[in-house]
Amino acid sequence: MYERGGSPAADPDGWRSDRVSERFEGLVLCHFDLVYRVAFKLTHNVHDAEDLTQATMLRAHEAFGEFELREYGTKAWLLKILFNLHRSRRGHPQSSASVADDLSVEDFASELSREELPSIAAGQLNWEGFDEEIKTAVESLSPDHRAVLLLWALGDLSYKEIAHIMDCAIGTVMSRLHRARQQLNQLLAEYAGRHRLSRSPRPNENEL
Amino acid sequence: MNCKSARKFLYAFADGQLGVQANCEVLDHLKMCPPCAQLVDEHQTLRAALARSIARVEVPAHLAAQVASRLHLGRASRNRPTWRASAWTKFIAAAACLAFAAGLWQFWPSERSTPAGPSASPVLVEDGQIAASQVADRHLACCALGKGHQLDSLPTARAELDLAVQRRFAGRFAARAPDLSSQAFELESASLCSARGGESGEGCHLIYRSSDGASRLSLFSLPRWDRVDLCARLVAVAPGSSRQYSVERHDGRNLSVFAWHQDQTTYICCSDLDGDRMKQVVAAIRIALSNGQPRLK
Repeated sequence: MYERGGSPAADPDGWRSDRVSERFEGLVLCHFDLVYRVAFKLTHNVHDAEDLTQATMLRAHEAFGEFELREYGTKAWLLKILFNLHRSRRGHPQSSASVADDLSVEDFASELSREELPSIAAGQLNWEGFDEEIKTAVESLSPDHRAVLLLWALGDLSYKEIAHIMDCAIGTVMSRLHRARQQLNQLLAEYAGRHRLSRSPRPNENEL
Repeated sequence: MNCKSARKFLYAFADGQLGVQANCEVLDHLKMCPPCAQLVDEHQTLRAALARSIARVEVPAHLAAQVASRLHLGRASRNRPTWRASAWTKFIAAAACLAFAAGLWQFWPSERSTPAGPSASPVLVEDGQIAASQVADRHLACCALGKGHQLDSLPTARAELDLAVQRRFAGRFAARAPDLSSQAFELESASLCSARGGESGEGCHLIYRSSDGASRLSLFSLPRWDRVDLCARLVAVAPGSSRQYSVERHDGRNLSVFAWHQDQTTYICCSDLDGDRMKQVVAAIRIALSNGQPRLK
């Protein structure tokens, strides 16, 4: 893609490192916007988010030579760098995942509380109609619950990948997700009750 | 499975995290139980709402260039060729500023501009301009990794992989690993990188190798673009039609890119095969994909 204007044969060493840069460009930079958005959701502050994004990209660039794509893929790798930086900036020591990591999702599901999962307004609610309320409800959660919801909302990370990024056990991911969902449902059901929200969909042609 | 036992698994099911057997059991229960199915829907709707809220965060326009310049300093100190740095800066600026907004509107299958059927001639694409060339870049970059493109968490045997990717994206889109042995192509590697790039990254990328070893073929499966992106300018592509591109690389190589919608999914194929052979292979892929369709919501 960027071969024009230079002759690789004249500078074989430079060319090899440029191949690495090309891979970095192809594999990492496509996640640039995502990294910023996650950073912003974690920090709630443009300045901190910019700073965190820069630090993540610089760290990724430094570490790219040692980077093995095999285990989790570029996105999870970048998000892990971002979460580690964020955690150390908040002054939280790096935790280590427990042996429970090796258990399967099914094992954890069966360990979850047996109480009924709450449904908000028994299906009468169109959640797309009140994104702002969801946002407010999410912001009232604890940082750990917010973080797990954030990674979950990205949509394509497995629980195992989320556990890897957050440096915790899969069971912790599942129980945080479960608790966050319960709290959100409660908050949103209260909101729905107050405002008697109905199923009527709101036109959402401007979304995304 | 009754409600009590199913409910422990509902969120994990909705997130595509269950093994085949548990998945089937929950699915069987959902078919008979509207309240549980409603919970799964709510779970997915909430995730979509959160995803929208993430996607709405505006990325500062200057940031990509700022990062580029810091990385550029790092590169200059190691005496890299300067023309590279300029290409790098241009890349980031381009990635940040236009990316998909400009590219995909032109690229994505659209009924309006898509003459269906075998007589359709490919749209010629200049390298570096639009999303078809991003697909070509991704194809070449991943092919260059050889076996290193294979994600360890995915099976290497095709039939097993087919089940694994279906399961992984169950309820969202139909990722598949079709058998292309009739076209003399064998599965070489599989990963979860996406053709779409940008902030999405979700999707499945398979690389097939021709039996003579001369060609590689990429098959990307990703969520239907017209469902994800509600841009009013795009309409759903007519069933059976596809869009074809020929990407001319700077080194003189030509790559064919085919994109089509099928089964709530967008599939993209990219290869160095010539146009007619590519059409043949794509037709075989489409037939293989329509056999044994996975169950989708």
